[in-house]
Amino acid sequence: MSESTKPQRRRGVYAAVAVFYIALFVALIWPVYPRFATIEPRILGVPFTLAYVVGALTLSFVVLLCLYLWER
Amino acid sequence: MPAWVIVFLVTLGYLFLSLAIGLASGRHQSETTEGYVAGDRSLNFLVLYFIMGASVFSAFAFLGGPGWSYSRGAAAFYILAYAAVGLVPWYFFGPRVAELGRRFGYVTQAELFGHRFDSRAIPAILAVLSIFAFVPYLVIQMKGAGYVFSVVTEGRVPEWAGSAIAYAVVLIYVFRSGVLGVGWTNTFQGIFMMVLAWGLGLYLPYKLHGGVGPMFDAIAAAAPDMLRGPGLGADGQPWSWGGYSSSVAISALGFSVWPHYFMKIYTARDLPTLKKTVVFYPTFALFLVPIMFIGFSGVLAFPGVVPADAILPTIVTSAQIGLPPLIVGLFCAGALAASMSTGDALLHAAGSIAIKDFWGNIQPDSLSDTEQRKWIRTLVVVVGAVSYLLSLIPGQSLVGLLLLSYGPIAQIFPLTVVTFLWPRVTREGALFGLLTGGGICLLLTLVPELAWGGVHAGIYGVVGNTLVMVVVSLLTPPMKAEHLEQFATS
Repeated sequence: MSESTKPQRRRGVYAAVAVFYIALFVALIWPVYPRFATIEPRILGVPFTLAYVVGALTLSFVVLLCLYLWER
Repeated sequence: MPAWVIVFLVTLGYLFLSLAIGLASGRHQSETTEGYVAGDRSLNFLVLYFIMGASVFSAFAFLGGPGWSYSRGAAAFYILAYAAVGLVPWYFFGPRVAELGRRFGYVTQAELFGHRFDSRAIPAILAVLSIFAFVPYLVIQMKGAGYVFSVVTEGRVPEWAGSAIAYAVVLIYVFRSGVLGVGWTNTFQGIFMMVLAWGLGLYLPYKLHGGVGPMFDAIAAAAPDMLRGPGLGADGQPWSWGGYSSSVAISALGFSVWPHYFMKIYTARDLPTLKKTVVFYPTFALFLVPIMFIGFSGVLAFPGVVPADAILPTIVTSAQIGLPPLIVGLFCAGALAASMSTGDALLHAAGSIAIKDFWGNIQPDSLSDTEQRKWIRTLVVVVGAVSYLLSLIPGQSLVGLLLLSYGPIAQIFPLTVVTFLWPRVTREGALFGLLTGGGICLLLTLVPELAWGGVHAGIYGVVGNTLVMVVVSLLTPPMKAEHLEQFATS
């Protein structure tokens, strides 16, 4: 990768990550979250309503961690 | 020795330790405003991580979190939902804010906007807005601290004296050590709270129901509406999706721009430190999960606790659980830590903002750096005293005040986005957008019937704010290119 294409590529990745987070945000509110806000299936004993949100939280961490490591 | 004396001594010992750490941490700080407010831009990852973590563990989360899961069930998950995305915007604009902060010497949020829009009115408005939003938050933290003391001593130390003791400690270390005092005590308090949250959060469901799974089995059989989204409303009936979703949205929008957190961007030692803090922030939010388990564990075992926020102290001090006094004492210290670690950052920011952003724009250049630092410290004490006096007034009106404050804070979000993404935005656009958003929030909070679908007033404010900002900016001449060039960052 040459020096001149670097910032451009970074901008592209940033845009993709931003789109991902907007999607994640939408997945946590109406009208997406109500489809998953049920008690079953239970994950490790926890109702799916909670497991889904914790899953989103974990995913948020993993994606940003990947971006951080990629940038380094 | 009676159990309450042991509990009380543990709590006092904890306060002394916090004070010692708070005082020791300010020793190497320079005697300047930059040192006092931004820690000479030297904070490392650990401290910054815990300062942001303290935003999760306020008195509201430690007492209100279990209270919500106890009385409203799945509605409490909205806190986790906004924490999943709330700080992410920092990853994108944080480094640019930090870079500009270094270049131009900013230490508060409004200094950035005042400079970018070449306006004295915008930072002054933001300062007034911030302080009005801070005071009710502080009052709630102080009430929480007083409540802990009163429970611990079985009413022997009244609530007013409890708040006074805890916040005297906070005032001393914030006055003396500034942001470093806030940072290092938050680190100590944060580690303490994490251990406590997981310990109690797993032990109580086990003790009362035989485990987390069996606990949710029992709730699913007895009260299934509690576990289905969006949980219950304040009236005990199923909550509306509009109410749930807009609570997530307004909190997610407002979170990254709360002035007392935003100004912590300037304290980061370097950009990787800042980014790493954002990356690891959700790991701190995960500690809310056991906190919610505590509330759920009380649903069937301790029905009818009023107010619901008292469920955690009720369970911990109950004879049925039979916790040793030492553990109860540590829990009470944890609740104090939650209150103090949020309250200290608010006090510190309130003093800084009142002097730098309000007075500095009303009477520019009237104070030297030494005088500024002196006045910021004075204001820390004044704001602390005013909040303390307000905390003595009984009644529910504070909840109304807090709701009123959250919407206006979220109005700073569109301003932040356009500052970095849309050079065409003008001073007039920003100013009228801000006034429109704030006005809509105020109107809909005073006349809630106008807010359609139970949606939070702040959401309507953000929409109005953005529209007016764009339209007015396009109708006014663009700002000078030479001025805007200063804000271009790598």
